[in-house]
Amino acid sequence: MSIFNPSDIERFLLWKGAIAAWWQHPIFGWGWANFLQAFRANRGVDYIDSPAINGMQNSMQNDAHNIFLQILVTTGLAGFSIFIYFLYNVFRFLEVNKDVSPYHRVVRACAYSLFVGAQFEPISFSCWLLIAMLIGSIA
Amino acid sequence: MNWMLAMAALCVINPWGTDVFVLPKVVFAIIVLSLDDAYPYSELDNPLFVAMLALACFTITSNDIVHSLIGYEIQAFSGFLQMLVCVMAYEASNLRRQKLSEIILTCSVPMIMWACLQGVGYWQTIWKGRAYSTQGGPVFLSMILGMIAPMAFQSEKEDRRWALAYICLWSAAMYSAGSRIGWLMAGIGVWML
Repeated sequence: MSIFNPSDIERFLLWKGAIAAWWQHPIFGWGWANFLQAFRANRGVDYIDSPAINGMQNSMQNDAHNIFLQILVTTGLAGFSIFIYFLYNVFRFLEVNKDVSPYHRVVRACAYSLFVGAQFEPISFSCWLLIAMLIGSIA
Repeated sequence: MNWMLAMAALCVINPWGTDVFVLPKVVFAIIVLSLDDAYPYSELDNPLFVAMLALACFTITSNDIVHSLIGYEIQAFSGFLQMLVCVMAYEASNLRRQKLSEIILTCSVPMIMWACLQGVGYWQTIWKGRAYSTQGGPVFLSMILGMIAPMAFQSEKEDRRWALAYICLWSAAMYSAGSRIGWLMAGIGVWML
C-alpha cells in the first residue's frame, strides 16, 4: 500500500471527464444513474491510456468517485443546489448539537468521516443507510 | 423485534451477500437481533412506513434483482427511500442510540474476522490479495470500517478491554483491505471526536 498509485491518475482523469460531461448539461444534468453514459461520451484518450485502465476501451465507470461531481453530472446545478442545501442543514444540525452528549459527537464524527470518503470513492447504500440511521437517532 | 436495529445489523452483515458464509451470518444476525426485544416501534402501525420499509429491505438485499427487473432509476430512488425510512423511524432515545452503536460494532466483528482470515492467508481473496467483505470489494470494506471507527474509539473510553481488542482486530482488517480511503476516514472521524 503506497501513498500514490496508478489509480490516482485514473481518478484525476475521471474527474476531468466528469466536469466535461457536466458542462454539456449544466442545469439539469444527465439524469439519475446515467453517469456511465455521460462519462463514456466525455472521457478523454488520456483516461483510456492511463496505467490503471491500460487501453481497455470497454472499461466501465458508473461513478465519479466524488459526491459533488456525481450529483453535478447526474442532476445538474438544480440537483446540486438542493444537495448543498441538504448538506448545509445536516452539518449545521450536527454542529449545533455536538456538545449535547458524547454520542452526538460520535455521530458527527461518523458524518464527517463519510463526507471525506465521499470525495474520493463511491459510497455504498449500506454506508448511506447507516449514517442516516445515526443522524436520525439524534434528530 | 426492533426492525430498524435489524436493518442496521443487516447493513453490516448483509447475509444476502454473494459468498459462502451466508448461512452462518444469517444465524449470527438472528442471534444478535434476538437480544433486542425491548423497544417496540409504533411506526409499524403505519402502512406507509411498512410499505417503504419493505421496499428498502428489498433494495438492500437484492440489488442485482432490482437492477435487472426495474432498472437503475428505481433503485436510486429507493435508496433515498431507505434514508427517509430511517430518519422517519428514529426518535430521540438514549437507550436506542446505545443499542444502535452496539449492534453496528457487534455486527462488524464477523466481517472484520473474515477480513483478518483473508489477510493471513486462511481464506482465498479475489481482489489481488486484498481482503474483501460482504459489503463488496476492499474499498467498501475499508470505508465502512473507517466510518464506524469513531464508535470504536468512543467505546474505548467506556469499556476499555473490549474496545482495545476490537481496535486491534479492526486495524488488522483495515490493513488487509489495503485501501487508503478507510484510514483517511478513520483519521478524520477520530479527530472529530
